[in-house]
This record gives sequence, C-alpha cells and structure tokens, in this order.
Amino acid sequence: MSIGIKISNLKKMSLKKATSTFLQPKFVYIPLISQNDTNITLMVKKGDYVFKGTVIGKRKGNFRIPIHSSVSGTVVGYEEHTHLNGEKIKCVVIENDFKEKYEERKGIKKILNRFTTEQFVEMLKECGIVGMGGSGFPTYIKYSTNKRIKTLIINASECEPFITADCALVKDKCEEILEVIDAIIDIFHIEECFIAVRKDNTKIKKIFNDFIGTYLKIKLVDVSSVYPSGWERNLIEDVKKVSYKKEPIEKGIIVNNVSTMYAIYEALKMEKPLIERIITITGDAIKKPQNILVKNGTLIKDILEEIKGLNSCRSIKFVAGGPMTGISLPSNDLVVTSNLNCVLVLKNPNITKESDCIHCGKCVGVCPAKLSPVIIKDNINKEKILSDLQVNRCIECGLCSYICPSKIDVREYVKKAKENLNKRR
Amino acid sequence: MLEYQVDKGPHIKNHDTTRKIMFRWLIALLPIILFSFYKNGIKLYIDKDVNFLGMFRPLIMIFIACIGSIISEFLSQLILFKKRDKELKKSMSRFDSFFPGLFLALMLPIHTPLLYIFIIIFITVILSNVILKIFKYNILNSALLSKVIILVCFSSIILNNGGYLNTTDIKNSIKNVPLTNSTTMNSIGDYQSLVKPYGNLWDFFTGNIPGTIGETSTILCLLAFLYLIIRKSIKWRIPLVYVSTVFVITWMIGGYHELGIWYPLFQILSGGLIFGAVFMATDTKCTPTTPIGQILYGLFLGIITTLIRYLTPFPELSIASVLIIDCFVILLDRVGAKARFDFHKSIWLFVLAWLLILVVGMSITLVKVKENPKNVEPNKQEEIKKENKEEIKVEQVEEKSITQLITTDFTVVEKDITNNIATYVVSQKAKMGDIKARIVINNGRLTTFIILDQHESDYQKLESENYVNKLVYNQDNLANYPDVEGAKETSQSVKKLVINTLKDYNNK
Repeated sequence: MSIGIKISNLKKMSLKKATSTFLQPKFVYIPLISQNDTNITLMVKKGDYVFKGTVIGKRKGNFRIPIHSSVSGTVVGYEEHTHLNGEKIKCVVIENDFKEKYEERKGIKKILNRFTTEQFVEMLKECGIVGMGGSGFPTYIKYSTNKRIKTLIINASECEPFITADCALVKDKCEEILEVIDAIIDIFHIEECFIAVRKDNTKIKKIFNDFIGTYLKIKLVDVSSVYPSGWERNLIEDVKKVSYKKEPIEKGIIVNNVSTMYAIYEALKMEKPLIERIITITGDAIKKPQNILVKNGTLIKDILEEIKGLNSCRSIKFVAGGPMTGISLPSNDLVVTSNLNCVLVLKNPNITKESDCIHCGKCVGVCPAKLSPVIIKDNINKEKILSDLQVNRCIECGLCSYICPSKIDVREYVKKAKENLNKRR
Repeated sequence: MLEYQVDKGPHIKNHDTTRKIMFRWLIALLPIILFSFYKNGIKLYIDKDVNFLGMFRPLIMIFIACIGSIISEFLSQLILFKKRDKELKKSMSRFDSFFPGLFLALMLPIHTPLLYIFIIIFITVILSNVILKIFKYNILNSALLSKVIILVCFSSIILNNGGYLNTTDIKNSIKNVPLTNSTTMNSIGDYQSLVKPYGNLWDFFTGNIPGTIGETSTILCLLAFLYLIIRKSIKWRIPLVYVSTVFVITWMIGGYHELGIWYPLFQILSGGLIFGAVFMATDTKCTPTTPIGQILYGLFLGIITTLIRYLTPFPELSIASVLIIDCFVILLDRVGAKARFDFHKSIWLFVLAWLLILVVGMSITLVKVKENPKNVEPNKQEEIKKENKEEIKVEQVEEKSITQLITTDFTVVEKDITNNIATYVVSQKAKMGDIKARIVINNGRLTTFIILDQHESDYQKLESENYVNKLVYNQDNLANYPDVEGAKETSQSVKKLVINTLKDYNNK
C-alpha cells in the first residue's frame, strides 16, 4: 500500500481540446545545462550553420548526454534565459530557416528488435534520451547493467494534479508505444511487463485495452490514486509487492515513464534525437488550457502568444513544473527543456500567513518516505540527531507543507537539513 | 503591470487551518458543557435545592476560568514574547487561548471557590509560557497542573463547602464519589458496595453519578471522540491504548479476587478516566507526534494511572500521570522517529512497558491480598482463627466492664450468611429515633458499614470526621475509641450498633 493522500485532480480543463502543435518558432534558445551541471564544452560558434540534430554541446564529466539543436539554421549569438530550476542559464540562440534539414538522410527501420543490448544502449546515449516525467535522469544508465532484467514497469499514472501530458500522448500514439515495449522485451529477454495506470483514469484504460490484446506479455495494472503513486518505491510496492534498498535493479526491475518510451521508439525507428515534447499549459489564468507539442528551446512567452494568452487579472503565479514540485518564477521568461512537463499559471493567488507549530503530527502521518518532518524542524541545528533521522530519504514531494494546518513550509526545513548535512561530509 | 507572486511551497493548498481544528474541539465539548449545566444546575433548581442564581454556578465557573486563561495568555504574549500589534493579533486569533480554562472548569468539583480558580489558572498559563520560552518545548499542561494544585492545596476548603456532592446528592444521603468510596474499602469489594449505592453500570455510563461537573458522562465523551476522529483532528491512538491498558491491569487484579467483568468496567467508567484520556492526554502541544511514540505514551500512562489509583490516597488525581510522562515526550518522539524505518530500535521500550504491566498487576494484587485476606492457605487460616478468638475474648472482657453500653434496643432486621460472608441489616435505638445500617462481616472482620437511615440532629459532625469508616479501621478496639466532640450520644449509639452486630455474629 502506498502512503500518500488524495488531492483533487483538476485535470479535466487541459483535456478538453485536442493536442495542438507549435513547431515553427522563429528563434530557438538552447540552454547549456545537463543534469544541473553548466560545465559544458561548446561545439559550435557564432555564425555556424547547424542542422537539426547537430550536437552543439557536450558535458565534461560522467553520464555524457549530448545537447542537440532542435531546428536547422544559423547560430546568431548567446543570451541568458531562465531554466526550470529557477536560475538564469546561458543559451545558444539559433535562427530557424524553417527547412527542417537533418545532416544525413536517415532510413526508417521496419522491425525494431534487431538490436543487441550494447547497440541499444549506444543508441539511447547518442539520441540523448532522458526521463521525461520530470526527473531528467539519463535512461541509458538504467539499461547498461550486468544484472538480469526480469520486470519492466511502465509508469502511466501521472499522479501530480493538473498535468496531462502523458495522457495526451497515449491518446494519439498508443500503438507505437506498445510496439517499442514489445521490442525492448525481446532485446533484453524480459519475463514480464506491467503498465501502471491510476484506478480512476478510465480514458487511458479504454485506449490501452483496445490495443493491448495482441501483446501477451504486457499487462495493465491498477495503482491507487493517492498523490505520489508515481514515485518509484510506491509503484514497485503496489505492482510487485517488494521493496529495494538503493536501486530497483537489485530486484531485477526497471521503471520508465510512458513518454520516455515514445522517445525511445522514435530513436530506434528513425534515429531521431530528443528534440521535441508535449507540455501541458494550464491553470485558471490561461484562456485556453491545452497540451501542446513544442520543440526544445522554445520560449514560453512565444507559446503563450500563440494560444491567445492570459485572462485579465491583477496578479498571477507563474509555475514551472507541477503544483507540488514546481518553482514559481518572477517573470514569464522560461525555455522548454526535456524535463519540463507543465507550465501552470494561477490567477490572483492568496498570500498565506504562517503561524506557530502546534505539533499535531499530521506531517508525520503523511510522509511517503516515512520521515518525521516536525522533529527535523525542531532539531535543524543539531548534527548528531539529524544524521540518525535519515534526512536523505526525502523525495521533496511537498506533502508535508501541503497538509500543515499552520501553513508552515516544512519542506524547506528538510531541504535545508539535507544541505547542512551533505556540506559537512 | 501584471504582478508575479513568488513563494516556495506547494502551489495548491488544503483548506484546513488551526482555527478550524480548535473550533471542532469546541463543538465536541458543547454537549458536555450543556450536560454539566443540566446536571448541576437545572436539575437542582427543579428539585428546589438551590435558588435561581445557584443554578448558573457551573456556567459561572467555566466563564471565570476562561477569562483567566485568556487574560493570562494575552499578558504573556505581550510581555514574555514581546509581540506587538499584528503579531499579537495573529497569536491571539489562533482561537485556543481559552481551552485551559474550559478544561480546568470541567474537571473541578462544584463547590470550588471562584477566586482560586481564577488565580491558579492565571499562574499556570504564565508558567507554561515561561517554560516554552526557556526550553523551546512545551511540556506543561496548564489545565492539569491547575487541577492538581487546587485539589491538593485547597481540598479542606472545598470539603467544608460541601465537596464533590451537590445538594441533591446530600439529600439522597450519598457520602462520597464512587472512587473515593472504593478507596475506603481498599479498592477491592463486591458489586453491592462499589457500584450499587450509585445505581447500576448504565448510570455510570450516562453520567447520573456524583463527581466533578464535567467528567461524569462517558457516553458524551465517546461521542466527542468519534466526531473528532472522523474529522481527523485528534491523536486517536493515545486514548485507545491508555484505556485498554487500564482495563487489562484491573482485569488481572479483579480476576485474582474472582470479581466479574463488571470490575474493570467500573474502574474505567469512574474517576473521570475517559474524559481525561480523550481531552487531556491528547493535548496537541505536549504529546508525541510519531505513531509508535503515541502508543508507548498510552502504555506508560496506563501503568502510572493504576499505580496512583491503588497505592495512593488520591485516586481522583490519577490523571496527573500525564504530567509525569510529559517530561519524557522528547525521548519517546526520538525513539518513534527512528522506529519508522527500523522497528527493532523501539522493541526495548515495548518490552519494558509490558514487563511493567505484569509487575504492577502482580504487585498491586499481592499488596491488596495482605489487607483483604480472602483466599488464605489452611495453616494461616488456623492462626487467624486463633487470633480472632483472642480478640473476642478481649472484647468480651471489656464488654463486661462497660455494661452500660449494651442495651436491649438492638434488632436484626435481615441476616444472610453465605460461605464466610455475613450481611446484616440492623437497627439501633438512638437519641432521636432509630439508626439503620448495613454491615458486612467477612471471615470475622468487619469490611463494610453503611448507615442507611438516621434522624440524628448532630449526625453532620460524625459525617465530617468520617467517623463511620474510622470505626471500621479500629474495629479491634471499639469500646475504647473516643466519641466525636459535641455528638457523644450519637457516637455511642453508632458504636453500640457495631458491637452488638459483632456479638451476634460471634454467637452464631
């Protein structure tokens, strides 16, 4: 049983319209950042002509994922724009020539499982596939392991409120997703595969059930509709009833997001790098909330103009990411990257007032990682006690701050405790 | 210009606030307040035992206690924490500054003088705020500390005004609240003596028994508990574990003395245990926040409560065990936090608690056996018989020398001897009529002596000195026991009752 609480869904507003596209931006601003590291070597300079898919930056350290250009055109210069982690990052500005040219003509493969495991991992690395559920973790690392992979779990639950990007993708591309899952099962000789969907998500279940009958090894599984049901540990508890210590590969399990599966499909079929994705633009300040397919590096400002902008209001809250894990930004300057899955704009938000802690214990009862946030808050300066309380288990889901009746931001205290503890080591 | 708001927490909030939680506690307490007003005010006015103003006494007590606690909280926020204007308004609007006063008033006997309530709650709220400022942890439950101080320091003043009993109870010739009554019999007795004088167990459940003004009604407390659980505003594990522990220990003690299931039920339903468990032991500021910490808290509370009930002369203060355990809440919380990942780290505390339960149960049983010898081995029985015979001889010798004490105005109305227990209903002529009493003799020892009916004018003096129970304690030396000053004849009539009954028993 996964621990968590039910939060109101608020997903209906973004599913009313069909998925639209915005694939013709005039300028593209590619941020030079990879896994929160800005130490990138540039491979192009000002005035160069780049093709769609050219590598324009490479990371120096481990886990090398190349940064691709998402359009063909000329490099015009460098500017600074805000990334989804809240900081201003240097970006390469490319002027689009609207020709959508690749460097070499790439063929289309008909059968997807003619890869060895090494070729598969290499292809994932070259095309820059990262986790598209918001984590941004390079996917090839999960598959480059010596251990035997017994189970593959596909996360289609999308537990955070407001976000419907995965649901919109599955509506259109269900057959392709099932094809690639089947190919991966053949390549790695996996025994079983589960697709995890929330119990109350009847739309997606209907779509899957139409096509899943032909695939004997793939099964559809219900998980609970509480908030962090898409967290790895909760998902594995619900589906396989086991728990692991550090990584799920100890028990032979791999968990992947369903949008990542579609990106792997395009990489295997057409050698296409990860340069576009679906994001959800929603909130009660948006005139027409919808899901939209955009390229990496597009400015959100341009997208908002395209979809007819905001309702009139005095003040807004502009959030990059979901409502529980996202950060609110001081302006609407934001670029699209592979790990951004939602932009939330709220109308006329109230300023909440903090009061004293009453030690009611609700934050302890609600934490999915079994921590005790109120005790961490009271002992924020005492090192010995903090190291016993295993602060590093925190996944920053935000439930402790959500449920506090005194409106204290408890998650900030836990984050600070983590920082203090890791600095000393 | 569009304004952008920036903050860090989650961007959707739930609508529960501290004020709403406190408001729910107030709603849960309303039936109890109304019942206390009815039982100690309206009912007495209907029976014409008090005048119109006396009808409002419970409400006046609650009002004065709340005022005292609000004023004290305001002053301490102003002076100790140095808050001004907006912050002061925010602290006071948290809607919980009157709760210590409300809880204190519901836990006091009806004849408490109003001035002392005000002064003591004023002092303890300031004291708890001082502790909060120095230690940054709140470990003092101000309502409980006030109750303990009032009942320990001012008990004689309260008793002089009438004690726990309102005028209807005195009219019905009830002597004590149920728990004090049981303490005079060493807490072990039979259904007749412990429960019957107040009705049956259903009366205990609904609250038709004498006691403090708010604690008696169990069913209203349970309804409040259910309401708060449904609205998720209470730490429900603590009362559950607390009451179960007391039930289990008293069941063990009762089982040794072959008392039925009514005995643990009687212990739970009397003495305001359920009120204290639901409202005092779950006070949010001073109790553990982790689930395992709460379970351990309940276990240790149950152990200390039974110890206080059986081994000290203040059974009504058994809820003071909360004050003792509150000092260890920080330790319990740390153990509970570590035990969320690794249950093994808390096992030693559970084992300690269960061992203590066994030890406490057995030791109380053994202590009470010494004072109430019932299941005694045959060798010891012969020794006791010999002792009894010697005492009877002594008594007979003394009786001969003071023949004027024995008269012929003594009648036995009812007599019932089964096994070794003899139950007598006897009547003795006295100054202004007959004194009627029930006497129970167990294995040759007088265990119960209750006056059923009397018409003496100076009986009040005997009552205020608890003369009747003192006679039971001094049954070996009755003839020489001094009389009550100013009520000589009545005391002698009462003594005659006992001596004649014993004589009748020994002549059987």
